[in-house]
Amino acid sequence: MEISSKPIWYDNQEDQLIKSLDKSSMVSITDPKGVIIYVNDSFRKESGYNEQELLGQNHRMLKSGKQPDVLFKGLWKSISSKKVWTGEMCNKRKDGSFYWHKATIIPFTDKDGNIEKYVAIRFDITKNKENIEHLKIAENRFKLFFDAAPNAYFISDTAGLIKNCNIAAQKLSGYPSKQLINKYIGDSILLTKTDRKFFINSLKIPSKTPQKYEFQITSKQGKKIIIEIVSHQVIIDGENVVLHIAHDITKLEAANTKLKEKTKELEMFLYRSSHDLKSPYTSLEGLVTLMKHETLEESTKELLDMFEQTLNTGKILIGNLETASEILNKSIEYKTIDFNKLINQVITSLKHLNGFKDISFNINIPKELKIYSNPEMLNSIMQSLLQNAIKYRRPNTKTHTPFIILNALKTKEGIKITIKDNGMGIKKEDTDKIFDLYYRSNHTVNGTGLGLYITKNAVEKLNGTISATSIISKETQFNILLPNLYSA
Amino acid sequence: MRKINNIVLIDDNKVDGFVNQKIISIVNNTVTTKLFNSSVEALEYFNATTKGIETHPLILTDLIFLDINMPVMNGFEFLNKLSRIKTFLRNPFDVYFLSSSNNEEDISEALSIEFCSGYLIKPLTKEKIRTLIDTKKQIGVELKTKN
Repeated sequence: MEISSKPIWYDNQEDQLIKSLDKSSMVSITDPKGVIIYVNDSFRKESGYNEQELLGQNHRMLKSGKQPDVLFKGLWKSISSKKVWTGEMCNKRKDGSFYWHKATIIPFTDKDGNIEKYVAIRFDITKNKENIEHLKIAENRFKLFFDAAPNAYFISDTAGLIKNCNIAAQKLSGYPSKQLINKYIGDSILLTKTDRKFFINSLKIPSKTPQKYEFQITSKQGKKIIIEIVSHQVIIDGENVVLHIAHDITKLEAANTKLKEKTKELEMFLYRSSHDLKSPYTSLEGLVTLMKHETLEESTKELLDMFEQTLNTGKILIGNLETASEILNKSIEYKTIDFNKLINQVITSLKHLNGFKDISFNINIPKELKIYSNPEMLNSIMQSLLQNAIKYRRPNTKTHTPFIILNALKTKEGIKITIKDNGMGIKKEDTDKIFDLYYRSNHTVNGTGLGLYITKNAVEKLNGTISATSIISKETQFNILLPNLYSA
Repeated sequence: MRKINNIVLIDDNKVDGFVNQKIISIVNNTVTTKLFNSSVEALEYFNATTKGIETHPLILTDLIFLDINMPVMNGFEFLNKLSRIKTFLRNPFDVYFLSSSNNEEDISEALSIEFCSGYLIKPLTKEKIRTLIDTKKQIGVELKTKN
């Protein structure tokens, strides 16, 4: 194999060199005093001045004033002692704007060794400078947010050593930043020994999702406070670090506790009230029974009937209130329930209802379906839904036979129960509201507005879900899903 | 089963006591009823000493309807004190709690008490009394669910 070497430069190689330099850089030549004697096109273009304006002027005319005099002193010291100088400079254009460049100034001497001229070659670095400037702005801005944040930010390594923290972090811990850096985070926020161990250990476990902790700590001033820490494991500059965001939730916790107490109080109040209200109703019922044994005029009898009806509505309402408060208050026991048996009991208890005889029931429950749940709650749920299906039926006619279809199935997600009827149905816009407290969609049928609210609460107490779909004047279906706790 | 002749009603609610007394007389007007609006007074009545045991109120009583929620001494406390009277065990009469609460816990608490024959939910109706007096059938605790 033959290697042929070609000459790099042909004729006029000096010309070619100058041309290349001319294209790539700003070139200027000054006399020993700094008076400009030559500028190339690039130089003129960048500066914004034309040749006449530049030639014969001192190079000082381009000074930006942005750089310290020391720089120029050093520059002159260097080049006047015949040394090449390289550095970053900022010049001012004719229009007043600035441009940055990297300059190399080479002193040339005559045959006697005296400085004859300086040749300066410059490359534009304005872009670089701008980028750095932007970075600085961004960093300042970040620092501003970091320190202005109301939450305490700690950045630690995976061992828990603090690498950085903000002002809120200093406030929370009670230590200045200097005393926090390279200290263990558990020590800075004064966790108890066990919490410290637990916290440090959990940092070592890799996790992609933020981890939430709640600790009670003693502040440096000796105050007991509750803090919540959310720790994110992140990678910054290729390093595994943990960003901890901590905030004082003492007040929140106190408010929460108070709210819980108040709620408990209100629930108790509801329970007591519904309980106590029952007693006078019962007395009235007894009185009505007695009055019926008296000799009464027809008109009085009618009034007594109306009185009794009103009394019954009131009793139902109070009964519902009591059930609702019981669901809220009671802790419930779970038992194995034979669902077929339960449904049979419920249906038997509904036999006395108006319209029961008109309904054709279609019940499909696997023979051995057992549900591990609370019998009273489940009974109350099924009773109220079936009662509704009977109550809101469309009357039996030649063309319409009211039906109720009850299906129950054991599925992967749990026990699915559906109750479907071909009754009055619910308006589409009402289906979302039927489970709300005191919502009544139907004013023609008596109701207390508590029934489905209680049912929903009961289902939720059993950790289940309930939903309804309906077509007005056609059908309604309730879907219940109960957790399948029974696995035998 | 014994024939029921004397019933004692203890209820701090005057209206309830009055109504219940009336209803009993409507069902059976040969039965004598005695009403106390205070459990303390009722206990005094049962604590009385008589010449012969045959005339002691505890021996004469066949049935007690006892309200639970009463001031000073509730139904449970009353029954407990009553059962400590010497003559008490000589007469196996029935004590029925009579309350407006249909709360399962209240009912089972009442039924767990010794000497309690049953639990009735208010109001006292003719049907409920009939099962106790007329048919003279003792169905005890079963009654708790009859409402």
